[in-house]
Amino acid sequence: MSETPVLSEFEQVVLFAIMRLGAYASGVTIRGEIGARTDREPAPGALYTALDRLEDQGFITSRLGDAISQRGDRAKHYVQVSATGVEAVKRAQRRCRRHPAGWHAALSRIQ
Amino acid sequence: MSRIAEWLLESVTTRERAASTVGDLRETAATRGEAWFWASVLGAAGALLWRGMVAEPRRMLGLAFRGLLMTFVVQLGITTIVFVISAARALLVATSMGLGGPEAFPTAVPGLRDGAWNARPWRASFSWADGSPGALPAASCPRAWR
Repeated sequence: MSETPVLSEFEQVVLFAIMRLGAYASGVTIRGEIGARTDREPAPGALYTALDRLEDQGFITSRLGDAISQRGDRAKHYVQVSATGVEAVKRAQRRCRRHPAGWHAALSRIQ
Repeated sequence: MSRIAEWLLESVTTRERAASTVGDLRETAATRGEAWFWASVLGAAGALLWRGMVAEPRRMLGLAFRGLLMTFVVQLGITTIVFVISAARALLVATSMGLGGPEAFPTAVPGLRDGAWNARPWRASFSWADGSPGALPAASCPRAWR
Protein backbone atom coordinates (compact mmCIF):
# COMPACT_ATOMS: atom_id res chain seq x y z
CA MET A 1 0.00 0.00 0.00
CA SER A 2 1.31 3.46 -0.87
CA GLU A 3 1.57 6.21 1.78
CA THR A 4 0.32 8.93 -0.59
CA PRO A 5 -3.27 9.91 0.15
CA VAL A 6 -5.78 8.84 -2.48
CA LEU A 7 -7.86 11.59 -4.03
CA SER A 8 -11.62 11.33 -3.79
CA GLU A 9 -13.76 11.99 -6.88
CA PHE A 10 -14.78 15.42 -5.56
CA GLU A 11 -11.16 16.35 -4.80
CA GLN A 12 -10.24 15.45 -8.39
CA VAL A 13 -13.08 17.65 -9.68
CA VAL A 14 -11.81 20.54 -7.51
CA LEU A 15 -8.22 20.05 -8.71
CA PHE A 16 -9.32 19.98 -12.36
CA ALA A 17 -11.28 23.21 -11.85
CA ILE A 18 -8.25 24.88 -10.22
CA MET A 19 -5.99 23.76 -13.08
CA ARG A 20 -8.41 25.13 -15.70
CA LEU A 21 -8.76 28.49 -13.91
CA GLY A 22 -4.99 28.97 -13.59
CA ALA A 23 -3.92 31.99 -11.55
CA TYR A 24 -7.46 33.18 -10.82
CA ALA A 25 -8.75 30.18 -8.91
CA SER A 26 -10.53 31.29 -5.74
CA GLY A 27 -13.56 29.97 -3.85
CA VAL A 28 -16.10 31.84 -5.98
CA THR A 29 -14.55 31.01 -9.35
CA ILE A 30 -13.95 27.36 -8.46
CA ARG A 31 -17.63 26.95 -7.47
CA GLY A 32 -18.67 28.60 -10.73
CA GLU A 33 -16.35 26.44 -12.80
CA ILE A 34 -17.53 23.20 -11.18
CA GLY A 35 -21.14 24.31 -11.60
CA ALA A 36 -20.61 25.06 -15.29
CA ARG A 37 -18.89 21.71 -15.95
CA THR A 38 -21.09 19.41 -13.88
CA ASP A 39 -24.42 21.34 -13.81
CA ARG A 40 -24.26 21.21 -10.05
CA GLU A 41 -22.56 23.73 -7.79
CA PRO A 42 -20.92 22.24 -4.71
CA ALA A 43 -22.04 23.42 -1.25
CA PRO A 44 -19.65 26.08 0.09
CA GLY A 45 -18.95 23.95 3.16
CA ALA A 46 -17.91 20.97 1.05
CA LEU A 47 -15.68 23.10 -1.17
CA TYR A 48 -13.85 24.95 1.62
CA THR A 49 -13.32 21.71 3.52
CA ALA A 50 -11.88 20.08 0.40
CA LEU A 51 -9.59 23.09 -0.20
CA ASP A 52 -8.37 22.94 3.41
CA ARG A 53 -7.70 19.23 3.11
CA LEU A 54 -5.91 19.56 -0.23
CA GLU A 55 -3.70 22.34 1.15
CA ASP A 56 -2.84 20.29 4.23
CA GLN A 57 -1.82 17.40 1.99
CA GLY A 58 0.34 19.71 -0.12
CA PHE A 59 -1.66 19.27 -3.33
CA ILE A 60 -2.43 22.98 -3.61
CA THR A 61 -0.71 26.18 -2.52
CA SER A 62 -2.49 29.41 -1.67
CA ARG A 63 -1.72 33.11 -1.64
CA LEU A 64 -3.69 36.09 -0.39
CA GLY A 65 -4.84 38.66 -2.94
CA ASP A 66 -5.77 42.32 -2.44
CA ALA A 67 -8.72 43.38 -0.30
CA ILE A 68 -11.78 44.36 -2.37
CA SER A 69 -14.55 46.71 -1.18
CA GLN A 70 -17.22 44.47 -2.83
CA ARG A 71 -16.24 41.78 -0.35
CA GLY A 72 -16.26 44.06 2.68
CA ASP A 73 -12.51 44.76 2.34
CA ARG A 74 -11.63 41.10 2.61
CA ALA A 75 -8.82 39.56 0.61
CA LYS A 76 -9.29 36.71 -1.84
CA HIS A 77 -7.54 33.41 -1.27
CA TYR A 78 -6.08 32.31 -4.61
CA VAL A 79 -5.06 28.68 -4.95
CA GLN A 80 -2.81 26.82 -7.38
CA VAL A 81 -2.15 23.14 -7.93
CA SER A 82 1.32 22.10 -6.81
CA ALA A 83 3.55 19.55 -8.57
CA THR A 84 2.50 16.97 -5.96
CA GLY A 85 -1.12 17.76 -6.77
CA VAL A 86 -0.61 17.25 -10.49
CA GLU A 87 1.09 13.94 -9.77
CA ALA A 88 -1.79 12.89 -7.50
CA VAL A 89 -4.35 13.70 -10.22
CA LYS A 90 -2.39 11.71 -12.80
CA ARG A 91 -2.19 8.76 -10.43
CA ALA A 92 -5.93 8.93 -9.68
CA GLN A 93 -6.73 9.07 -13.40
CA ARG A 94 -4.53 6.06 -14.14
CA ARG A 95 -6.40 4.18 -11.41
CA CYS A 96 -9.75 5.23 -12.91
CA ARG A 97 -8.72 4.07 -16.39
CA ARG A 98 -7.90 0.61 -15.08
CA HIS A 99 -11.52 0.06 -13.98
CA PRO A 100 -13.21 -0.08 -17.42
CA ALA A 101 -10.60 -2.50 -18.79
CA GLY A 102 -12.42 -5.65 -19.95
CA TRP A 103 -15.78 -3.92 -19.45
CA HIS A 104 -16.96 -4.55 -23.04
CA ALA A 105 -16.19 -8.26 -22.83
CA ALA A 106 -18.00 -8.55 -19.49
CA LEU A 107 -21.02 -6.70 -20.86
CA SER A 108 -21.28 -8.94 -23.92
CA ARG A 109 -21.12 -12.01 -21.67
CA ILE A 110 -24.01 -10.67 -19.52
CA GLN A 111 -26.15 -9.87 -22.56
CA MET B 1 -23.36 41.07 10.50
CA SER B 2 -20.42 39.81 8.44
CA ARG B 3 -18.24 40.29 11.52
CA ILE B 4 -20.35 37.74 13.38
CA ALA B 5 -19.99 35.30 10.48
CA GLU B 6 -16.23 35.88 10.45
CA TRP B 7 -16.00 35.35 14.21
CA LEU B 8 -17.97 32.12 13.87
CA LEU B 9 -15.69 30.77 11.15
CA GLU B 10 -12.54 31.93 12.96
CA SER B 11 -13.31 29.43 15.70
CA VAL B 12 -13.02 26.53 13.24
CA THR B 13 -10.34 27.72 10.81
CA THR B 14 -7.55 30.29 10.50
CA ARG B 15 -8.30 34.04 10.57
CA GLU B 16 -7.22 34.59 6.93
CA ARG B 17 -9.23 31.63 5.69
CA ALA B 18 -12.29 32.78 7.66
CA ALA B 19 -12.02 36.31 6.25
CA SER B 20 -11.63 35.11 2.66
CA THR B 21 -14.49 32.59 3.05
CA VAL B 22 -16.84 35.30 4.36
CA GLY B 23 -15.66 37.56 1.51
CA ASP B 24 -16.45 34.83 -1.05
CA LEU B 25 -19.88 34.21 0.46
CA ARG B 26 -20.61 37.96 0.71
CA GLU B 27 -19.69 38.35 -2.97
CA THR B 28 -22.03 35.54 -4.05
CA ALA B 29 -24.78 36.65 -1.63
CA ALA B 30 -25.11 39.90 -3.58
CA THR B 31 -27.19 37.93 -6.10
CA ARG B 32 -28.55 35.19 -3.84
CA GLY B 33 -29.64 37.03 -0.73
CA GLU B 34 -28.99 37.19 2.99
CA ALA B 35 -30.69 33.86 3.80
CA TRP B 36 -28.33 32.06 1.41
CA PHE B 37 -25.35 33.83 3.01
CA TRP B 38 -26.24 32.67 6.53
CA ALA B 39 -27.15 29.15 5.41
CA SER B 40 -23.75 28.94 3.68
CA VAL B 41 -21.87 30.36 6.68
CA LEU B 42 -23.49 27.82 9.00
CA GLY B 43 -22.91 25.01 6.48
CA ALA B 44 -19.25 25.95 6.06
CA ALA B 45 -18.77 26.27 9.84
CA GLY B 46 -20.36 22.84 10.39
CA ALA B 47 -18.27 21.19 7.68
CA LEU B 48 -15.01 22.79 8.91
CA LEU B 49 -15.87 21.88 12.50
CA TRP B 50 -16.37 18.24 11.52
CA ARG B 51 -13.09 18.23 9.61
CA GLY B 52 -11.34 19.81 12.61
CA MET B 53 -12.73 17.14 14.91
CA VAL B 54 -11.26 14.45 12.68
CA ALA B 55 -7.91 16.20 12.04
CA GLU B 56 -7.27 17.92 15.41
CA PRO B 57 -9.39 16.35 18.15
CA ARG B 58 -7.42 18.00 21.01
CA ARG B 59 -7.95 21.53 19.66
CA MET B 60 -11.64 20.83 19.14
CA LEU B 61 -11.95 19.58 22.72
CA GLY B 62 -10.53 22.93 23.91
CA LEU B 63 -13.03 24.71 21.68
CA ALA B 64 -15.89 22.68 23.15
CA PHE B 65 -14.76 23.57 26.69
CA ARG B 66 -14.61 27.26 25.74
CA GLY B 67 -18.15 27.00 24.36
CA LEU B 68 -19.37 25.37 27.56
CA LEU B 69 -17.77 28.11 29.66
CA MET B 70 -19.34 30.80 27.49
CA THR B 71 -22.77 29.15 27.88
CA PHE B 72 -22.39 29.29 31.67
CA VAL B 73 -21.41 32.98 31.58
CA VAL B 74 -24.31 33.91 29.28
CA GLN B 75 -26.77 31.93 31.40
CA LEU B 76 -25.51 33.60 34.58
CA GLY B 77 -25.90 37.03 32.98
CA ILE B 78 -29.44 36.31 31.77
CA THR B 79 -30.45 34.90 35.17
CA THR B 80 -29.09 37.99 36.97
CA ILE B 81 -30.92 40.37 34.63
CA VAL B 82 -34.20 38.43 34.97
CA PHE B 83 -33.82 38.38 38.77
CA VAL B 84 -33.18 42.12 39.01
CA ILE B 85 -36.12 42.95 36.71
CA SER B 86 -38.44 40.59 38.62
CA ALA B 87 -37.42 42.03 42.00
CA ALA B 88 -37.93 45.60 40.77
CA ARG B 89 -41.34 44.75 39.33
CA ALA B 90 -42.39 42.95 42.52
CA LEU B 91 -41.40 45.99 44.56
CA LEU B 92 -43.32 48.32 42.23
CA VAL B 93 -46.46 46.13 42.27
CA ALA B 94 -46.32 45.74 46.06
CA THR B 95 -45.91 49.49 46.50
CA SER B 96 -48.74 50.38 44.12
CA MET B 97 -51.07 47.98 45.99
CA GLY B 98 -49.98 49.28 49.36
CA LEU B 99 -48.71 45.88 50.41
CA GLY B 100 -45.33 46.56 51.83
CA GLY B 101 -42.68 48.72 50.27
CA PRO B 102 -39.36 49.04 52.03
CA GLU B 103 -40.85 47.85 55.33
CA ALA B 104 -40.81 44.38 53.84
CA PHE B 105 -37.06 44.70 53.19
CA PRO B 106 -35.85 46.77 56.13
CA THR B 107 -32.25 45.60 56.05
CA ALA B 108 -31.88 45.36 52.27
CA VAL B 109 -32.80 49.01 51.57
CA PRO B 110 -32.08 50.86 54.81
CA GLY B 111 -31.87 54.30 53.17
CA LEU B 112 -35.45 54.08 52.00
CA ARG B 113 -36.89 53.74 55.48
CA ASP B 114 -36.87 57.49 55.97
CA GLY B 115 -38.37 59.75 53.41
CA ALA B 116 -41.18 59.41 50.92
CA TRP B 117 -42.03 55.86 51.88
CA ASN B 118 -42.81 56.80 55.49
CA ALA B 119 -45.26 59.47 54.37
CA ARG B 120 -47.67 56.86 53.05
CA PRO B 121 -50.91 56.50 55.09
CA TRP B 122 -50.56 52.74 55.42
CA ARG B 123 -47.21 53.20 57.15
CA ALA B 124 -48.97 54.09 60.45
CA SER B 125 -51.05 50.97 60.91
CA PHE B 126 -49.83 48.28 58.54
CA SER B 127 -46.48 46.59 58.31
CA TRP B 128 -45.17 43.15 57.57
CA ALA B 129 -41.80 43.91 59.05
CA ASP B 130 -42.85 42.96 62.58
CA GLY B 131 -44.05 39.52 61.43
CA SER B 132 -47.82 40.12 61.91
CA PRO B 133 -49.67 40.87 58.70
CA GLY B 134 -52.57 42.58 60.46
CA ALA B 135 -55.46 44.09 58.58
CA LEU B 136 -55.20 46.47 55.66
CA PRO B 137 -56.21 50.02 56.66
CA ALA B 138 -59.33 51.12 54.81
CA ALA B 139 -57.76 54.38 53.66
CA SER B 140 -54.86 52.66 51.83
CA CYS B 141 -56.95 49.93 50.16
CA PRO B 142 -58.00 50.29 46.53
CA ARG B 143 -61.67 51.19 46.22
CA ALA B 144 -62.57 47.76 44.77
CA TRP B 145 -61.30 45.98 47.89
CA ARG B 146 -63.44 47.88 50.39
